[in-house]
Amino acid sequence: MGLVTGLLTLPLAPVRGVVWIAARIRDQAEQELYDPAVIQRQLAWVDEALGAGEISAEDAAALQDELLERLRTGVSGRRGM
Amino acid sequence: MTAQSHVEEPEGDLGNGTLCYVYGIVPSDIDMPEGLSGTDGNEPALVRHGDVAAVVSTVNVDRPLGTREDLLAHERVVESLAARTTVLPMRFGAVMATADAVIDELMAPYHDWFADVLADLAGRVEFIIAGTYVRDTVLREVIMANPEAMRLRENVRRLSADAGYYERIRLGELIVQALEGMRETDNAALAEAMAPYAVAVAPRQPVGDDAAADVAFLVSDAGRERFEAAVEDLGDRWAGRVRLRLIGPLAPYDFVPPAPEEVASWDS
Amino acid sequence: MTVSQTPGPLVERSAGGGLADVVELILDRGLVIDAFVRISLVGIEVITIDARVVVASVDTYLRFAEATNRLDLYEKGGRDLPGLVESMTESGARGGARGKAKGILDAARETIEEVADRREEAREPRRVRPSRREREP
Repeated sequence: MGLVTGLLTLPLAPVRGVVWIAARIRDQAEQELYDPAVIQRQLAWVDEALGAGEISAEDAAALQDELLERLRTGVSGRRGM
Repeated sequence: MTAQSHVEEPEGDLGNGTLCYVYGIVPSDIDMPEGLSGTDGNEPALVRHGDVAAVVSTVNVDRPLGTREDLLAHERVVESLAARTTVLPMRFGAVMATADAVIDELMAPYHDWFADVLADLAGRVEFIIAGTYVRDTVLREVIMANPEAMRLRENVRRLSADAGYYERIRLGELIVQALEGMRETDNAALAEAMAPYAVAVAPRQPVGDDAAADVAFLVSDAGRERFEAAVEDLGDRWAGRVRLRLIGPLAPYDFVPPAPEEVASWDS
Repeated sequence: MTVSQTPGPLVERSAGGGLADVVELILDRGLVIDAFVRISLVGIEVITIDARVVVASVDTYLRFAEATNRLDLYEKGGRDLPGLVESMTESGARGGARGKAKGILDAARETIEEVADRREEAREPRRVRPSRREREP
């Protein structure tokens, strides 16, 4: 459920069912999770937040570690790593 | 050209059979900075061959390369050297089997080419200028210039989140498209504005929703002050619409020429 | 990696940039050893990035639409620059309220996005600066 939480500010769209939406979100989330271009942008966010004093150096490092790990995971193969 | 055929003993603690992480190529007549910490905390050393040298350190490869520490180590070593000499920087992750292989397969065959490139890059540094849009300013521009965007915006304001859902998507899409066009224009404008102050210009790919521009410049030591003053002026002119960020001086990552087609033939 | 920024010049200066800058620089540029060496090149797993454009997501569209919602089309400026852009000293005390980075990155991502939006909102400078700030010596 963590993948779904807060990822999209998707209001209740009228037509599709919840399951369909959740599946789409999951697809996109997974795609985004390992997309190097997305990770690159997220790294930039971390830098900005750190620079503006909104997160601590420790938090920044932890976030960066996780993002870089995703880059590595993407290289070796997504699941079952 | 006469081949520099004598093999120098590698400096530092590199025996045969030790994997070598290669950071870059430098002129051979330099001294390494003291106490530098590279990948895995190992101290880099020079593998000299004739007029050029490779900067290497031992590396442990029972794990994928690319932790924060790995990246920072690479950058630290390259930039420490760039502060004192010309560096032809490697892309991250170059590992060779042995120090001998570094000489036999890298330094010897390409010695003259490396020497030429180092000569070209001598006395020159890289700067990167990145621009970010001031969001409200460009959003206004987009909406004012686009009647459909204006109409959608008004609808979106009126309608609830549910009812206006598809309008929001469409409006967002329009904005993103408009920004893409703006980005192209502004990136070119940045390159053009600063080109007179640089030896070479290499546009890059701006990353991010609000990215406006991302361009690398090769600047001579002599021209550096004028270049930096010009960036300040540009920052002033673009204030309120684009925020500029200047990164550098850096080793010339964006100005490494493509590899030669074939190994130069030697005459003795 | 030193990052220096003083509240003065209009252009933000960073000697080495943030980690994102380092990543973009050293993963994507520089001499590619594969073009020179084959035999004794050790083919280890190395991370790479693609310097391609991110395909905008529904999320991005919605956020932009929301930003126009909050936008004042005809009134410019009027808001003072808060002291958001401060010195780059990494103070652990300040901003710690955001909490420990969690294993589930998405929560943190949303937080950073929200923060970015809010910061962006408040940060718009006046178009015409009354006086040029002093340059860095």
